[in-house]
Amino acid sequence: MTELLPLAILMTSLGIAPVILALPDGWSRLRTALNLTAAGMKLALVAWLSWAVAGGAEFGLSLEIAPGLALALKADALSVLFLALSSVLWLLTTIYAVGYLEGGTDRSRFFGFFSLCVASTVGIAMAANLFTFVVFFELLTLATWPLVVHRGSAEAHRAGRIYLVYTLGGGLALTLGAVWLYALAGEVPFLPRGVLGDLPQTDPLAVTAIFVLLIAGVGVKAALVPLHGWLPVSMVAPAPVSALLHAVAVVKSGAFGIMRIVYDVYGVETVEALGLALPLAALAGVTILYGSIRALRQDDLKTRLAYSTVSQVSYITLGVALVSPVAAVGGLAHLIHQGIMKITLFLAAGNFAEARGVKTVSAMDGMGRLMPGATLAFTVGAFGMIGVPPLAGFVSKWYLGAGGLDAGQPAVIALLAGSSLLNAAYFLPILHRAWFRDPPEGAVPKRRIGWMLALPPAVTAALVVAAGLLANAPFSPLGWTRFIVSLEYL
Amino acid sequence: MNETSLLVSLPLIAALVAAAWPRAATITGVIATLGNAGLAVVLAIRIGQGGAEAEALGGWAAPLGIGFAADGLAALMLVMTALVGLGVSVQVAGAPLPDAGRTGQRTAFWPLWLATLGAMNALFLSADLFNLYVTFEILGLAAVGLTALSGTRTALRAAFDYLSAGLAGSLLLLLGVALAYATAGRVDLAVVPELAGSHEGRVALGLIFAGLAVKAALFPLHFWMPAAHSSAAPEASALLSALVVKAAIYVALRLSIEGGAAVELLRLVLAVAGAGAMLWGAWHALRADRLKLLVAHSTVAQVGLIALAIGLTTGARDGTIWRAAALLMLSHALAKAAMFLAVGRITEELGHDRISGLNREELRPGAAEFAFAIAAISLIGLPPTAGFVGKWLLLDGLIDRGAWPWVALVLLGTVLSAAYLARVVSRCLRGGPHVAPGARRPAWRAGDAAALGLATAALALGLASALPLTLLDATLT
Amino acid sequence: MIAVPLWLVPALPLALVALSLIPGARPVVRALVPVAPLPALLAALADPVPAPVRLDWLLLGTEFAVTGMARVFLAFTALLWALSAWQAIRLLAADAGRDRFITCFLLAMTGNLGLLLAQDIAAFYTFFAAMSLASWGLVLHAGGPAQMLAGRVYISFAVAGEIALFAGLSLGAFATGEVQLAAMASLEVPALATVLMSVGFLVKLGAVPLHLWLPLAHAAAPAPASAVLSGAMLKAGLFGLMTVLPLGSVAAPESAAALAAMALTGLILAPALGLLQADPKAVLAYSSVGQMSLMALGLAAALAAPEAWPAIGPALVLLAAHHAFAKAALFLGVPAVWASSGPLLRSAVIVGLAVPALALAGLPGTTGWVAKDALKTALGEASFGWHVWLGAALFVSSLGTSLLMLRAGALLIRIEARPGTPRDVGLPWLAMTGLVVAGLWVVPVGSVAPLTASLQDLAPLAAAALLAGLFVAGTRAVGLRLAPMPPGEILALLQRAPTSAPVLALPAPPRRGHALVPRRREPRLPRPERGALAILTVAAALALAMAVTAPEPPPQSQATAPAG
Repeated sequence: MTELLPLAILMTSLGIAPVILALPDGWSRLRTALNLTAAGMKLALVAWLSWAVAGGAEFGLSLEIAPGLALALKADALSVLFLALSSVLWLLTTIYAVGYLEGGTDRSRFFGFFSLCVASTVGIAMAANLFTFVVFFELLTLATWPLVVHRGSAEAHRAGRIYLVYTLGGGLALTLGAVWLYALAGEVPFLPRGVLGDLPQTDPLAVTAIFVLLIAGVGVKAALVPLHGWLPVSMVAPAPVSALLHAVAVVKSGAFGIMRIVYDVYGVETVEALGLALPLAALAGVTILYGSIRALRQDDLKTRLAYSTVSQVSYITLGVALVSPVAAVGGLAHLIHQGIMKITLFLAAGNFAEARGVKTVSAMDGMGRLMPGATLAFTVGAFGMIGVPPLAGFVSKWYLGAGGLDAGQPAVIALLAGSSLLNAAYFLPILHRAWFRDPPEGAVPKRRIGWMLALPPAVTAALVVAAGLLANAPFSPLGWTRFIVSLEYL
Repeated sequence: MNETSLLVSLPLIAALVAAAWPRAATITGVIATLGNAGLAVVLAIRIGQGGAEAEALGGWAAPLGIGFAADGLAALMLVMTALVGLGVSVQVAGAPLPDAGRTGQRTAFWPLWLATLGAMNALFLSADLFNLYVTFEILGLAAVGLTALSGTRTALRAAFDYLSAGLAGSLLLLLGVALAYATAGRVDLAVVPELAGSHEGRVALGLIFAGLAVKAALFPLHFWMPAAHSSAAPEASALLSALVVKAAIYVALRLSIEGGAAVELLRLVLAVAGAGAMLWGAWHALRADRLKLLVAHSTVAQVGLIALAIGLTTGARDGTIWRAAALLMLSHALAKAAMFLAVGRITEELGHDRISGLNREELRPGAAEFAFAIAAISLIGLPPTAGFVGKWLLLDGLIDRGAWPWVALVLLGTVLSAAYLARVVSRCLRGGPHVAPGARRPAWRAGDAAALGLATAALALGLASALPLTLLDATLT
Repeated sequence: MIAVPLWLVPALPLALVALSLIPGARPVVRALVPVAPLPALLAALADPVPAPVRLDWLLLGTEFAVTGMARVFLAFTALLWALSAWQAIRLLAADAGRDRFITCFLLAMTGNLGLLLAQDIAAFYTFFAAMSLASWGLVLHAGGPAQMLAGRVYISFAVAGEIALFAGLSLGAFATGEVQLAAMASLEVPALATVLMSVGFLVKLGAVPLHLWLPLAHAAAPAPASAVLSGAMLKAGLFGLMTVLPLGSVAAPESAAALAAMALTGLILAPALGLLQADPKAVLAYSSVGQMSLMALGLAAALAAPEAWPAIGPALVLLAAHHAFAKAALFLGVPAVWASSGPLLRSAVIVGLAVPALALAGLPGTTGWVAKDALKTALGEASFGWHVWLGAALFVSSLGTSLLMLRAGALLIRIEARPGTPRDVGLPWLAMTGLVVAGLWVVPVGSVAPLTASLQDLAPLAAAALLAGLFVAGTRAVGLRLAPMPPGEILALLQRAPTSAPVLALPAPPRRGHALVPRRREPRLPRPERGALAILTVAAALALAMAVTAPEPPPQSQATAPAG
């Protein structure tokens, strides 16, 4: 039975998606029950799986759909990292979304695609070869688009169009690269330390071109400059969607893809031997600074957070591209850390908008007094992003900095310092307004924040604290990433 | 009688019954379609397990007799026809009775459809050129009938155009076959390499391909097709676009596989024409302001893609590209049929099919729009649909050959198809004031089942692509 | 003495922070704030020192221990926090934002106490950051324009300092492969790392030119917060420097010269600028700049002459403890002045304030005199290039401090009483004044050698009194008044250019989005005539093309019928 565990995890979200899509909009109780049951089940299954994987178990399933092409799932340590993130945050975001959309329209559609989106993420996490990865990666694009345009306004559609142009374009590059690689190498499973054999020696040009195509393909979702344009625009989507896009699904899939390509398709040594590691790291560095600089000038809260995501996600890329086990630990841990921090920020921002109609930084005055809980969660997230210890962001930055030195790139320290400075420059004014300015006269709440909206950011904020404070504990994100990196860099 | 003969005779006999006895037309049609589907599946399973088989009608072996050959490719096409036919039949048979205006249409539909089905089955099973010509004649006439079925002015006009073009194509075909017979003294398919060895034979092949190009609406001879497909009744359009066009494409594929390296020039022409069709169709689809016209132009583009794939086959039996072409034909058939049926439902709901009027406030997108979206995903070639697997294999083969300009063209075609299909899909999720005055939900909610089923089949086929691909292994050359 | 587990030192204030999240528990928290530093005090005074605590699961593996000079720092820091907390809860009893203040206060306290105990880099940095960032809340508390400016400047410097510290610690940890803080002083640490760490600490210490935040923040914060900022938190910078600089091992003349230059500038600049201030708290802040510069000067001397470190180190600790008590007493005294309405009470308070003021000025017999003398003696033992200037520097320092104390006193006498201030804010001040007198015998600084006063020691004070008298007399004579300087030094000269108001305009007309869809027009469907022509052309072309191309040779093997 246990060998079907990956399939079961996939089906908890993939299986209920059509059911939810088909439900009439008014049946909200049944829908909520289904959603939460599925999310809870998935969480339990992922917990079981991680336990088994930590114990050395291996899972693999394969369905051949054409000669040499197989849809294959597997669960290795890297999968579990991403699975754990997505399953925990899915549950929380679902709770949040149920509260957020209470009384809204098109909820069946929303939650159906929401589940589909998570299913794709799970598929990406457990893809055992490049083909499967591409399949789920594209599926993710399709599943998120209805969420981006959910509001149906002209603005949402503009965002949706830009999103599609970017992600489908990226998908095309990814597909082309993948096909090319299959044509050259036969099958491309994901295995630690790469699967290309002596191909890089025999045909370095093609292998380099494929790398560029693949990275460009996943780089769109990972919002690498100059492929990041869709991310700030797609902020018109409802808050849970933004949270999902930024923390769990889309950008993380891109970053995860970069990991898979560098670690499990090419292998770090090959990437370095081809001279591709440094350009990738440089690109990540440019993205980190560019995103932060753009974030400074944004008054719209979610747009500022979006540019912050552009910047922060590239930490993961940076950790991967610096060929060093220490940096890899930092990058991988940031996959989780950025997820929980950014979702905290977005959920809190969503609460500001819902309860008080506050959508801009300049309207944040006095939020600390009006909504202490949400503002506290936001504060924790923001400090985490800046990299203030003992929060999660600090741990990532510490390892990235050490990794930069380990890789012989002391400039990374300067980069991290500059980025932290910029992070502080765009987050601290928000906190200042929220805590130390007086709320505007006669501010009245737009709607009450129920537990469904209040709980998820509180939980994720607690996770941010715990991930940093207990970093050295065995099952912390950091502990798990060390385990993964020990496999790649043995 | 075995399945092969039954597959040809059953639909034709049923067509006669349905024509003679209109009151039992529906039941006859449904039973015949079901039976045909069963037969096709049984045959496909047998071929998949036991390899290709041939049968000589009347005991005369090739090159003289009328030969029927059933191999993997033919079986795949038979199953494709059967599946699409089943979906469309369900739609037609299940339509609510009170719709008085359409009762006459419905009774006329069945004989025409069954004749089409029989002709197509015969075409796929034919192993010689003359047989192919004959089946094309039957098919062309039945298809014109289907086009004219809705009885509107534009439909009749389009049907006339179709008829003229079809006749011209048939004439070219006949000319080619005659010339081939004069040159080689036989007309079985294996004669193609021999034909390519002489000037007369080459001219014959050229004429045959020209005829096929007309029938397949290949650019630049596609002029009749958008009008015909967009003005016919949705069910008829589904059949025409998904199946009838495939007949000529199938023959082109057959000839290129048989011809091998000898028909290199014709294949090149096919590829170039395919590329032209892909761009031309996409361009017009982008500009179309009516939904059915967009879908019809998309057929031009998609047929172009398939022709491009056929044109780039190396002719080798173990090549990847022609398998990709076959898979693309299959997936296009399922998706396009689903799309036309969905368009029919949408038009019924809104009372019009203007793309600019697709946004709605009161009516939330339903199953039809969903089916359209899935079909669109398959046509664009996004995973996990069969279209994706087909395009993957195609690109794989092209990269293997180092045909980079063609890779770029295929990618360009993909981008364009995404662009024009997104026009429709995005409208479906847009709110706003453009609610058509006639908008209402059709009473018959289950009517979306056929479209949704076909679209789901296109989706599921992506995961089960191994089935058709292994079936293709049993193809003869 | 009760044996206190060391983890309790940061845990108790943190527990109170957690408790304050529950609205109902806030009165209890408020009452307990002064008790929060108690474990730290007990740990500092315990004999023998408490056992180290290792917490492997915390952060990147954490160890707490009380080592060497940290004991003294811990003792006076704990005392300062306790008494300031006492005054804070009384002073802000009616303030709307008091719970916010107390949360920040407790967090800063956690950081300040914890960093003295942390043995590993991560924990040290965590506590340091907690202290710096939480103090932002203390500076911003009152919410006026002065606080806005001070807060902005403070947080800019604090964040920059934090980041420099982070970078330095990263580099150091990588070079040594150690995560122990003590390893940062080893010689394997690259110079860049040491410089970066030092910048981080010098910002905290308020060394010129990194001091710009200091007067603003001290003036803007509520008095008890200023007391801990000046008395305890600046010392964290000193503590950090004493931990990470390679003191006592090798001579580093260039670094020493650089540090000495900063210190000497501070010694001169602080009184010069401080005398121009109108706010007594700003004057006190400049005095802190001067005093901290003096300590930096001691560090510079130790860098130049490693052999003198064993003497200089304890002297610096002594000076730090003395300055902590005295400056805290002065800051805590400001609310006591506010609370004193009658002239009699006012005079009594001013007299009481004279005790720490004179101690700072180094009046013989006070702790200040003891500390300064210890430093003087220690510096006297060192000999290097510029040690001859040290005596003059010490004199300038004492002179400057004395002048600043006079200025502060003059301003405090004239300050207006604030009627709302509770009377009992004077109690913690009195306790602190007591510590000024007896503090060095309470905290475990070791034995203080009995000294004999000489008349020479009075020289700076006398000179200051003379100068002040001359100045006052001079300005009176020519009828001039001293115009106070705007706060912020050079930052006050830099002002944001006024941004022009946006021009009101109609929104741009909406653009049509369908870039790919050009003009729509009715598609012309070609008629069969045209189609027929096309068909014929294509067919002819194909046939012709096939005909003119060379035929393939007939296949070798005759094709067979398609039978399987």
